Amino acid sequence: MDMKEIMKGKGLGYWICTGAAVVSLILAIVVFATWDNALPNRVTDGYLIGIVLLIPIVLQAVFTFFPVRFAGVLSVIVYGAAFGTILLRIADTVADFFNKVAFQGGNFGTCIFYAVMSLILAFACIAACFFDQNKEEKYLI
Amino acid sequence: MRTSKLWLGLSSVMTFLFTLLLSATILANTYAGYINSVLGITTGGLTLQGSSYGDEDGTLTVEGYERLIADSYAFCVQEEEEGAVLLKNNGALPLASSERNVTLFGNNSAHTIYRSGAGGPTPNDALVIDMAKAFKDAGFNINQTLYDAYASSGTSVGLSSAGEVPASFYTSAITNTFPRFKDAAIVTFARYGTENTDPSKGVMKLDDNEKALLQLINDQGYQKIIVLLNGPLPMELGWLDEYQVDACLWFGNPGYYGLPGVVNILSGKANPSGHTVETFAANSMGSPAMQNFGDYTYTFDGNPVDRTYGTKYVVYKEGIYVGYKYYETRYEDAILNQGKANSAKGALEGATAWKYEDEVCFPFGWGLSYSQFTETLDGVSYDAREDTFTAQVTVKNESDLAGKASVQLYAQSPYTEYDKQNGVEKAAVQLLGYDKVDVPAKGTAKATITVDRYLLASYDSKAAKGYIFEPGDYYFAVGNGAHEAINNILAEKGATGLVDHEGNSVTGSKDCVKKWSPSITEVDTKTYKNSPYDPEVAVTNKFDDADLNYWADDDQKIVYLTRNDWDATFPTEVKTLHANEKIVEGLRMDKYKKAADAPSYKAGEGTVYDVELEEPIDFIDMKDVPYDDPKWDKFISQMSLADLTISIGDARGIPGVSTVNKPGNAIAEGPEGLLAKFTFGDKRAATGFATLPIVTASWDHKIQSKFGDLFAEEALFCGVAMVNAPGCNIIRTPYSSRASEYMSEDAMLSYYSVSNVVYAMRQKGLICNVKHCFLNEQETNRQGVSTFANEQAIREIFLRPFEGALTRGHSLGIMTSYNRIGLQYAATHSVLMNDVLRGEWAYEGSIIDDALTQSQYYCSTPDMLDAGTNIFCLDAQRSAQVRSLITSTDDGHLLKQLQESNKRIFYALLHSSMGGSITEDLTVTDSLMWWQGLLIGIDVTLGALAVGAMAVFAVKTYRKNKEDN
Repeated sequence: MDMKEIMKGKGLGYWICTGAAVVSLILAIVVFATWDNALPNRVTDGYLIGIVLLIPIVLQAVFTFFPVRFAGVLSVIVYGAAFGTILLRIADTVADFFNKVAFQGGNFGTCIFYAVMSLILAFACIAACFFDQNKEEKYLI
Repeated sequence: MRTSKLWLGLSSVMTFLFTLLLSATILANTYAGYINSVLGITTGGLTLQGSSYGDEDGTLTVEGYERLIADSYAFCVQEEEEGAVLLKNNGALPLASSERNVTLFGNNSAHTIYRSGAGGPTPNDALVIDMAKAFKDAGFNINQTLYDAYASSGTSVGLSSAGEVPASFYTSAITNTFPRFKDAAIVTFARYGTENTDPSKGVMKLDDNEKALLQLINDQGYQKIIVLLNGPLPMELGWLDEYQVDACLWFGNPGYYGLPGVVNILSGKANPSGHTVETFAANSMGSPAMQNFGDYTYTFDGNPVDRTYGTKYVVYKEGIYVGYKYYETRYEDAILNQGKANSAKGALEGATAWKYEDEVCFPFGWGLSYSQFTETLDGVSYDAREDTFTAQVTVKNESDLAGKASVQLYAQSPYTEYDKQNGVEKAAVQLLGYDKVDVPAKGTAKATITVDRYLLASYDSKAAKGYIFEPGDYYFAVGNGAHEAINNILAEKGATGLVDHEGNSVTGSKDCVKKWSPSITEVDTKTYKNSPYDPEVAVTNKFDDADLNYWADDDQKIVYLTRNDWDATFPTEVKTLHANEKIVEGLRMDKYKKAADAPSYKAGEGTVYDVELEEPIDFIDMKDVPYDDPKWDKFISQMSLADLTISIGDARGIPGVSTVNKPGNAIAEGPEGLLAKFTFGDKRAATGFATLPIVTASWDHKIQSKFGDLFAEEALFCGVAMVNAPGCNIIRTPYSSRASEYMSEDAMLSYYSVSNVVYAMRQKGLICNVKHCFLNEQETNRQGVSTFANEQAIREIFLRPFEGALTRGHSLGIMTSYNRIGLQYAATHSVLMNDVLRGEWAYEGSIIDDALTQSQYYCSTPDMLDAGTNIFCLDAQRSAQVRSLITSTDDGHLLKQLQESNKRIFYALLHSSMGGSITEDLTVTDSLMWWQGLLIGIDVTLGALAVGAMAVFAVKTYRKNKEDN
């Protein structure tokens, strides 16, 4: 298997998704390192956000060797799920910020960072869907 | 662009929107109660009844709402007038009517901490009364230039900062404005605490910027210097004389609308009558409790337990000597030269001996008035039949100004050889009861204080394993705070060398003391052997395993502070603690296993459910049915597993149960006022009152009850029948960050105050989940921290306020804490919930945990349900977990626990305003709220569009491939 040849044949859509996956990996690491203080007090499973963010890396590795046309859509679904996972966990801190109280704990800025980053990743992969994954029409499905 | 790619792109957009909306829908349903509240959809569609502001039959009206609002806002001012504490006054206050040109110094004068920011109402911005407005409305001319400069300084108080601006802030453009406002320098200093994190150690000291400001004011030659202290945390105040401060007023957190009360005190419109709820120590780090407060981590062999929730500990080595009980007891022993109290151990750095006047700036219970009162304890009688003491007190007003006098009754129990042998500790003085009386100018007033003798009994965890009452001399005393009371007792004992908190020689007053001796010759271990609330229940040790010595290896066992030897036992920091095998095993939660003989849920063994009764019983039919009536079993049996799981999951409220026509109900926060909006009139946010330390500092049962009454009235007008409030943990140290939500350092003051508040709330049908039960006296590591204390301290100090709330206050709600009692997480502590709360205290209400999501390491759902937790705070997902657990493991035992939880929740709610508002013809349906239906509709549409777009893409791709081939 010639990696150089494989990579040469990848289209813009693929590279956008790969870039998103790399950012997702970094974000996952940030989440693992910070969720305990960043998320509201009641949340004991913030690491799940990081786990969801790791999925696109696995997906992208698979798509590298087994390209599919709708790879971007699958990534969008995962980033959407990541955003949902984040949303369900940061709500208390966000509500506290707007209510001008601080009774659920957490760090508003970091919570928003998680959410915005996951949205950016999702948008990137949406954009990727409008471009080819491969330069040539060689897809598994 | 090829059309297939376009459809792929569109399908990705639709898929994303679908995912987004689906998440939003789940989120919205999680917070359904809150959304309903915002949208004005009240408790189960009910308009609550029972208001004194309602019409003749208690029905709420807009006109009643307007009267309530007026009373609430007026009460905010009254709270401060009667709760703010005048600590020092050399005659500078009240300000003369000619003294109206003042400068408000201190950055925090423009950044007042209205409340801690923890659970409570949002501000109605247009109505918030800041310091400038409060002064100007009262006719003062303030230095607006300086005030505006502070307002835009960009500096604010925090957990590690006093929030004061540096000396360089005061440019000549600012200092040139001072001469026009020189009648008084009114300086506001603030200290801040809130949830989750404790203030940085040392922040209670005067910081360099504050010193520079005081020096500037001294240099400017102001006629009067008045310091205002904002926030509940007691600053170190040893500097008042050094900077020539004429008067000092503590006003806590005033709420959004209470500052006019502070100004009224300064102007003399109000005569101050508040008294301290905490000791103002000269060294905030010096108390025994402070030696073990903060972040401590076990050492492990390897890492055998969850890192997040199982690695922290804190040890209450001070035993019962919290707050004034330490300072005043050590003072007596120092005066009487006993127990090595004069040792330098625990004294200020560099001191050769411990001296009270060096340690305490203002004692517990202290407060000044513009009137001058003298008190006489006329008599104390014991009623054997009622087992109560009654004290008669005369208060004389020596001044020409009418005022309110706080009458505080203290007692001293004999510290005996029995105590020394068995490790029973006795504070030299302890609060027993209090009252507040109006005393006319040059007139007198009488106060009668009746207290239960039980509250004077001591808990002996070693020999008697229960409460004891000992023979010997008991002293009852009144005084302006605990220190004056102990001086009066010492005077009666003939002691010499007495000093007040400023170090002045005093003689004490024998007229303020009565001695009493019970007619017993041996230690009485029988009178309180059984619970005063349920004589069938024996009271004995329940928290042996909360003592570190139960778990620790011999080389790590600790010694608690004893007045028998202050020098040898003054607490040292438990810096290291090795988690031995016992501790590691004890730290493991998630221990619930279905018992081998547990009944089968599927076979309907042991209990019945989902029964179709010939005559169905509705929720409202259970109103006034006693808790132990068998009708409850019949009622509960109608509910299916799905029905039974509905009410245990809180989503800022509990959904309705259509099977039994039980409407949904909101559960609101919080201890500093209701986090809810009114459903009447202008629909503003509920009132942000002055917080609980101020309410408590009024030392007035009527004020404390009025707070509860207005709070509950507002709950009616907000459609709220249950609230997570008030808080009554002990303010164990000056760094207890949630002090704003609690009441006092003293168990008895908290006992009375919380029960007054709660009882008033109950009268208006508000179920209060009193929080956080218990040993949750620090925010550092609060989730999962192992908290060790001995049983005497637990019984007499840390549980006592909760005992008051549930017994004297008749609460039907309580919230457990985040921490562990010893090693056992509070919400899984069966002994606490079943043996003490529901056993000894005969508690019939529900128990809610403090908000946490399921975690196998810490707050496991089956462990909590099995131990006695009934409602899972802010975690509706637990409902599905319980349902799935019972069906997947066929666990009939958990089903029974679930049924018991429903009974307790419904029983409590039927005694709330909700129970008083439901008519027999009410029908509850499972239909969705309009917004829920709308969200689902959008979800389905987006899902269909996403699938459609994908399908088109697939077809297009297929056709193209076909064409290409």
